[in-house]
Amino acid sequence: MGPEPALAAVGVSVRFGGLQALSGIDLTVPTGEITGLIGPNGAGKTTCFNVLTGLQVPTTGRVELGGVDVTGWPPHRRGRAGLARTFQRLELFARMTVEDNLTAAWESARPWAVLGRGRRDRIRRVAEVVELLELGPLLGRRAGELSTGQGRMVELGRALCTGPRVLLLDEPSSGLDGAETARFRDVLLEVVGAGGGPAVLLVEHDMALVMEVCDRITVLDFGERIAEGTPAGVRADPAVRAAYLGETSVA
Amino acid sequence: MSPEPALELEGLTVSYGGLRALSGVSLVVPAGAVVALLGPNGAGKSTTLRAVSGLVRSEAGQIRVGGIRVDRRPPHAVARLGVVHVPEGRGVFPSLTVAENLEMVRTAVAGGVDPVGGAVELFPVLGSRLRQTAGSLSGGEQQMLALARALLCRPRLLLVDEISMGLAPLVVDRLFEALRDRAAAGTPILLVEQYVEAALELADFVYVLDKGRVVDVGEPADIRRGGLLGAYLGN
Amino acid sequence: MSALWPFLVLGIFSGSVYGLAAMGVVLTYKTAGVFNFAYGAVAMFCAYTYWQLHDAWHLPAPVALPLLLLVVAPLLGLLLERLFSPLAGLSAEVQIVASLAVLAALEALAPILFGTQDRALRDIFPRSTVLVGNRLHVGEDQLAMLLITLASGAALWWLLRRTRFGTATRAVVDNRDLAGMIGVNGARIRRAAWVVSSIFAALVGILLSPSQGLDVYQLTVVVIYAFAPAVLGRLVSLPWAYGGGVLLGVTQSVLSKWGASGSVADVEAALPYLALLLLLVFMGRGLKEAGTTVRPVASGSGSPAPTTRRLLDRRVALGTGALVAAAAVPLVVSGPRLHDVTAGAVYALIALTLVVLSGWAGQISLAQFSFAGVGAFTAAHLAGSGGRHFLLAALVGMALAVPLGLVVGFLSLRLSGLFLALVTMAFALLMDNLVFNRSDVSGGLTGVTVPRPEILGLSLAGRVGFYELVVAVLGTVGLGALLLFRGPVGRRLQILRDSPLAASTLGVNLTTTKLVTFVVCGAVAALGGSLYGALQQSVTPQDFSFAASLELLLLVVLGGRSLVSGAVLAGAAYGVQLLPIPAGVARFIPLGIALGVLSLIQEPEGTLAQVRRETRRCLSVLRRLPGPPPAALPLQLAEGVSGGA
Repeated sequence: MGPEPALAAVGVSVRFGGLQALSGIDLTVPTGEITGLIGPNGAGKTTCFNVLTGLQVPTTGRVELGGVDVTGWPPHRRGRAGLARTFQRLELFARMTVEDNLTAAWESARPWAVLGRGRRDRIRRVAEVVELLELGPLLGRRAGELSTGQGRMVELGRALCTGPRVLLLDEPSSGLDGAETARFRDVLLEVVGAGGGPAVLLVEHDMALVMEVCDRITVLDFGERIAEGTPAGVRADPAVRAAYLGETSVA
Repeated sequence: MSPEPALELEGLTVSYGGLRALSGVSLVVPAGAVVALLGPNGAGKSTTLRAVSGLVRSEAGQIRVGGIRVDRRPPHAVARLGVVHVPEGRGVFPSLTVAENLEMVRTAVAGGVDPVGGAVELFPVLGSRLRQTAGSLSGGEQQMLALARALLCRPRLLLVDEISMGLAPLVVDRLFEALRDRAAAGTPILLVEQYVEAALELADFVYVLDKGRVVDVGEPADIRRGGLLGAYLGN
Repeated sequence: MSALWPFLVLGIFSGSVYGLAAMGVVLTYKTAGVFNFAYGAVAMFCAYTYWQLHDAWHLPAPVALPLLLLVVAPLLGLLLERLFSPLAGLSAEVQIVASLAVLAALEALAPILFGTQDRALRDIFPRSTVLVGNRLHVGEDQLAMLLITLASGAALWWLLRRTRFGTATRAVVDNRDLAGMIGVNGARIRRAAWVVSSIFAALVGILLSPSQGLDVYQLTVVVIYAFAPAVLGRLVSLPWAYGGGVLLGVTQSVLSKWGASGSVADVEAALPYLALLLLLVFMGRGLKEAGTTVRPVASGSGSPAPTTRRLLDRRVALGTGALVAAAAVPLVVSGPRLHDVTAGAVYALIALTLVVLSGWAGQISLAQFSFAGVGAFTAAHLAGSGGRHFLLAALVGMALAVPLGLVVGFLSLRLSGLFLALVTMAFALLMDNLVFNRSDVSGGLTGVTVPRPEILGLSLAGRVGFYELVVAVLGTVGLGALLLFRGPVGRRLQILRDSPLAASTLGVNLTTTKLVTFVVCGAVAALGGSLYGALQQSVTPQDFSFAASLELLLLVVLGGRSLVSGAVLAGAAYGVQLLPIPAGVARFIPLGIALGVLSLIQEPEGTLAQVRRETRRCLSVLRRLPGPPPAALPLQLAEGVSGGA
């Protein structure tokens, strides 16, 4: 028995009417690692993500955050318990400055911060994140005016400002060009590499990125887990190749 | 002297919702040819088709259909040039009856057509469903309806987006058979498909997209396996 | 049962008109994605046009009617289509404000074009009755009403179900993109929908005006009855909309059997709003907002946002300066004009609550004056007839606003955007009809009196004293808001507006945040209301009606819906209207406001941002002018010379 994983889904199923979106998914996100979640279109990645963040209640199964059953918790309670996420379609606080985006994130995750408590902690944490992600030049800009690449960095920074134990990244490379993706990858490795960094779950369609940064990968297809393993193992798995290429002959 | 290509894209760049979807895509569908557009999720395949149909505005580059520029035209004006698009998902009007869905063909094609008769000839199963609303059909029947309507519009260029998604193999075979017949009759087709094998079998040329760029072009034999898996599963 | 018959039949007649209106509202919503708050105003405007053609210019009905239905109404429809189509895809708030501004514009335009004199309406249809069954006498006019609405409904149904145009229209409603790809010109369909919808509105106006009278406000509001049936049809179903209208008419009519006055009559008048509120609450999550693909708004005039520190200092400094200047106003202004300035300041206080709610937290409210009314009438009863101290009365008024704030807050948990606007409108109209209109609350038409307070032995009954009290309250609340805006509280509200989804995943409890916001804003509005009461010393229900809340929203948008100074500007705009302006000019002010709102619709910082932008442009033009730079020239020459040497 190793230590509790930072985040785990145990036997999670979701039905929408007659559609079985997820069937009995097991997924663990261990501390100190980057876990990949991949699969073709419509495989159930988004549903899985929504179950983990609390936007979707599973039909059966449970979600555990640091060993605590959080299945019935609303999103904001999970946020306070150390679960942070980014969004595929940017959800920036568009009319606020980048600095206010980061500050508001810190305040959101802490009780009574809205009454001004912990100002010194806040300033320190925001400064750390700004330095780590090199957001300094953007601080005074309105978030709605940023490019997609900059926006993705601000969303990552916002998530980090909450001091998360688990970081969920939803398709972070979509809309980025090669150079921006490379930079995102470097930053991500730096975030995790630093001691005490969060556990990361990465949903991503850029396979080069996934194969490069992930320690382990879970593959979904038609709502089922069809493979789990190291990048090399997953890549060689005939079931995965079949799922991606639509071969009918599954070995 | 070869005829004008059915479709030419030149340096097509598209962004929407703040995301860059296509950057400088160039592609040619020669007259009478079938071209398959492959690549992983989010590569920009559907966006390419939507840009051709005028559903998304391009930022830069040109789109020419039969030599005529169409990037600045609204969808209905592109449709009137004979560009027929079977979109991703179910390309039917769910609250209209099957017959009404088919009657929509008359908007696109002038002159005497018998859309209902033609559709039943293509897919006999539709004959018993004419009075039902399209939304009450099974997924396979909806896709047959969508394809029948598209084919009856007498396309001068057919755009087909993931027609097999979520369907049983038998139904997929029926749909591809209809496409193959139409291709044999000389209709140019630009095909986006997740069943790579089926697409490679039908196509004369293949383009592989990744992150909004063309990463590979060739005949199906060149493309098979190696290069493709690279795009799908990382190098 | 037989005694009910006449009421049932009468209800069917009036209900069929609501049904016709509901179909008109549904039609543009489902094809063009615009919920037309101004539908009643369009009906009213068309009714005025008809009586102008028919009575003032003596055109016979067979000429006037086609002229209205086939020329005027379609043109109005096309005009509205022109106005709304560029807004497609923008946030719900922008579209709501646009159609409310159209409502205000038409209400302002009608008296300018058609005059304000009372008109004796001649009957459109013969007054004689026909015998239905063997007992019931039915007016031919009522029968005509039923036939016209039924025929219109049937014609629309036929158009949509049996023609190729109709198939294309339904195809656009089902899937706009797909219809376009098949060659359907969506813009043409939209225009047609607006034209048909306006023709229906014209019919509604003509049919309602004989019974409701030719009254700008009355006709506009009666058509709001149709919103409930429209929602019953989920804003997409025409048959349900028509049926719902008839059902509403029948229920109202049957209720009227039991009471021509008293509480039953109140309920009868309030029924459509109650239905609207309940339908929205229970159907809430099932309703889908049309065109929710929100384009990012080019916000804040593109100027770089100044850094936190400097902005805070400057704004607070400006605010404090303004406050000191405001306190000194009685030195230069006195008499009735000081009263007007005071009224503007009270108005600014109420406007501030709307700035916080809608500009900061993104929660649109059409009920802020209902909260103010609670404060005013509480003050009237406790401090006026009850003889208690004004401060106590004001505090009780604020306390009474708390449960109401919770109610609206709960509604905002289930509904947002268009549906929040509709439900707060229903709430305001319910408060008008069920609370403020009761004579034991508001003293009927004569109103109730509110005494001015005495605080710490200092009488504030005089104009100057009371003015200083209002300035102190406004200053405290305004400066407080300025300070809070840049701090954690302001950020908490703004993230609610910019992305509730991201806010909740970061750890913000949306429920408590929204409830607290509505409660605090409601309580402050109530305080504003008691001050308003003490200022006027007599208040009537009209002071706090839905129309007042509507005007407030428009003035706040004009002033700048996300700025404290925007609220102050709104107050100033209100105060200006109180000045003794010649009636000929005064009539144009509301029209100017409405048009101003339409031109600033996408600008969250309102007039100020516009002024700032224009100033900056003028300055940059001035700088680029080849003006004589007096000092620089000799210097350059000198350098040139020395360099050459």
